[in-house]
Amino acid sequence: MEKLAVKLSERLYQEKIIADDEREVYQYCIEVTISTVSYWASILICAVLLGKLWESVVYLGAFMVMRFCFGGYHASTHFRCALVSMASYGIFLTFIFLFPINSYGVFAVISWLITAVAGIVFAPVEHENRPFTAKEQKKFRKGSLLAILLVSIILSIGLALGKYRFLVCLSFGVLQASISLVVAVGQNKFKAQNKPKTDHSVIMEKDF
Amino acid sequence: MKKFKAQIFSALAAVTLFVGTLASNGACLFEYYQPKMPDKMRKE
Repeated sequence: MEKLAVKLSERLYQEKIIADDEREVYQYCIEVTISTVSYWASILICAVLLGKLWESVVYLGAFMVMRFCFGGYHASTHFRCALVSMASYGIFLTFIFLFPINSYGVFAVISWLITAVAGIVFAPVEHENRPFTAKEQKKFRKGSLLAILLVSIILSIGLALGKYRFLVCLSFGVLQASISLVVAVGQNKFKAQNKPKTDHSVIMEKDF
Repeated sequence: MKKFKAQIFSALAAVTLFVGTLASNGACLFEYYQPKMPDKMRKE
């Protein structure tokens, strides 16, 4: 995908549509677009083939909104990303196919509890490829709390109306974003602990 | 034909810029991979 993005941005430059100093930005934008479109397309094709279109759209929509605010785990390559995405979607489909509808309400409430705790404690989490400014940190924190509030309202209405199938799809997306958030926090902590010491810190240790 | 090709490339540039800007305004991308964001896309 990266190579394709490089080629396409080069082509845009050759066609005189973008300037030389814009190539890096367009390369990023093209890579993001290709990966997003391929992710959505692969999941929606599976959804249509399995007859679970609206369930998949609710699941993906909830996941996207929460992840947009929370941040979360990222794989190191596009291939691993595709594997993780399809595995998560597979777990969602397995649940929908195998579990009885009377377990959906309990699952939705448990998912909400996990999301609320994880979101309030940890959100948002940044990635080394997408560091936050102080302003962004505040913005995403507010967004995360609002998203949790929104999910709480939808969950309450859904439970009152008995829309369990809708709720379980929403909860799965939300829960997946929360798990991804917790994994990212753990990953960041692990990276910070195993970071090679700088020359300065080595000198300080020697002094002691 | 040349004009048509230019229009296609312009549309491609516009759409990708829109998606890229949308993604750069969020805490992270929607799927499990995050390419390195260029400094020029960061808001000060």
